[in-house]
Amino acid sequence: MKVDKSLLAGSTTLLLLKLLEEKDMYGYQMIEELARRSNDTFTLKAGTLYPLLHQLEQQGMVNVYEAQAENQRVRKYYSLTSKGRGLLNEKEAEWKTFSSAVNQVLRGGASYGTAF
Amino acid sequence: MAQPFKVRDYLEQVLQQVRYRKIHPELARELEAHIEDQKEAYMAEGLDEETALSDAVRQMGDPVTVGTQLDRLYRPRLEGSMVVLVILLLLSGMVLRLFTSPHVSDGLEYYYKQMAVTLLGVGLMFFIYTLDYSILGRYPRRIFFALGAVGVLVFLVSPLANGQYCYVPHVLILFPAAFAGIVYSMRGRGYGGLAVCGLYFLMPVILAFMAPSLTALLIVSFSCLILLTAAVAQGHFNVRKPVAYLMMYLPAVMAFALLLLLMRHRLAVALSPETDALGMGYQELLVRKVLSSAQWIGRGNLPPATQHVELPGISNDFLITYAIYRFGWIALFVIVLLFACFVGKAIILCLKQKSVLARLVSFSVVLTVAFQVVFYLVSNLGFTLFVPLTLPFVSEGNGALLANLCLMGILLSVFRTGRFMRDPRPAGKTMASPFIHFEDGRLIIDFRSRRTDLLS
Repeated sequence: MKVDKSLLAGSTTLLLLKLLEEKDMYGYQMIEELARRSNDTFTLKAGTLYPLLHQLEQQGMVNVYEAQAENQRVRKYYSLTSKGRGLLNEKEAEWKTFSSAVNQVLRGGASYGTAF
Repeated sequence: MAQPFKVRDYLEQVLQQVRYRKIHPELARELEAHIEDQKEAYMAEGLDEETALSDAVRQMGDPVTVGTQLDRLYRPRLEGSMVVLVILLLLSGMVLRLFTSPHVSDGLEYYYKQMAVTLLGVGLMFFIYTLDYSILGRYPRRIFFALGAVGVLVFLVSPLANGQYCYVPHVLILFPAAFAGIVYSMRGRGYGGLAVCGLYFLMPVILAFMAPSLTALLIVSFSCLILLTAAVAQGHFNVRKPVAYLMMYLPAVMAFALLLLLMRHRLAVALSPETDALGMGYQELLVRKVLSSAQWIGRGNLPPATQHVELPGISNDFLITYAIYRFGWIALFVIVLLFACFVGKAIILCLKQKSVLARLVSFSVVLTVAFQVVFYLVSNLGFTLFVPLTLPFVSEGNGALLANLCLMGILLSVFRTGRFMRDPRPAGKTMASPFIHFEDGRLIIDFRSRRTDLLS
């Protein structure tokens, strides 16, 4: 199913940091992995990915190094820093609050708006 | 590698938006690799190469948007807070000297001259700011020896004052920044690299002995030693730390002890100036007398006969002593606060630098400025064992002012791009080490060993 892109926009950082939590990856790998795990729901464009990754790097959330990928080519790998791990935890908590709130509203508001 | 037209076209459109050109190769390399991977994935799905390539390029997204976003991330920045702090220091110096200069013969003439030199120096600072600090890492030896040559030349033109070539110390305070480049170039070179740093360090030491300027010697030595300590602590040399510290501090402590031994008479007088009240202790007693009369706020209460403070060199060597007497201890508080902000802010920025070179160079400048301040304040507070250089940006002295504004330019140049610039490779050396190798039980990945010819 195609989803509205703006739904993804706010949580891209969260998804990227989550991917890097498991292992270091290069840009293309991250897009592929994201698509695979979301059954092609999240198709991130390179043009969105790289500015975001570079920004995270400048903020000290991720580190960069070059190494050979499986295909023997040199790729720029990104790895999560401890500061980035902190941001990931924060964003995950934020997402949980947000998504449970959305779900609650969608279910018809179990505890709000019934008093009137 | 020959790039297909479509890829080159795409990359050019992206990079046209990014104004900081030095980052172009790195960005291009990453984006091109991405297109390549995407193309291969499409081909694996059964597309022919040409279709796969144009689909891969299309998949990248709008080049102008990407380029604009990247441009925002890679924009050189003038560190406004540091500029404001330096201007505040320059202004406080001008205000203070307005009170002292009329009491000194030719004082006002010198005052106006220094105003002109300040303008010149600020211009120099902004000029150096626009230069690329990474030359310190690419040509460390050339720069270091060039500075040594300047030092020697200055001996020929410098006037003598009290038996000292008085311009030489100003050249000397530029050495720690050049030394940072040398330290950087010895990255991963082990104990040998550390020893080479020690040899380079001898050059400013010799110049300082010839000047002679004990204070410049100590300022340069302390700055270089701490810089080297920081580098060792960060694992820069890839050596065992205790051994490295021993290599550095054993000779340093011995030299310092020898120095104090040779100066034991002066040291004794500095500790209790009454023992030589009319000789070496005279100046120190005067400073203490002036300070003991100082108020918290407002003019000190020296007896009318000595109202006119007769400290030698109130505009250059004892400006802060005078300021404390004239305006109260609050003046010292303001000056210390300004320098604390300056050093604190600079260290915070220094830690934010991504490249090792940027950190080393900015740290060396901070250290050089900080030690000048410490030496100046200590002597102005009545412990006059070492004749201070100047209070950076504040007290009188044109050569020192120019040298410090030079240092400030270097600092601003580092902060301009250092937060995203990668380390340069020292020129003229091919990397001996392979890309990934094991050493001392550690995995070493050397990012500088790969060449890229992209778009160049």
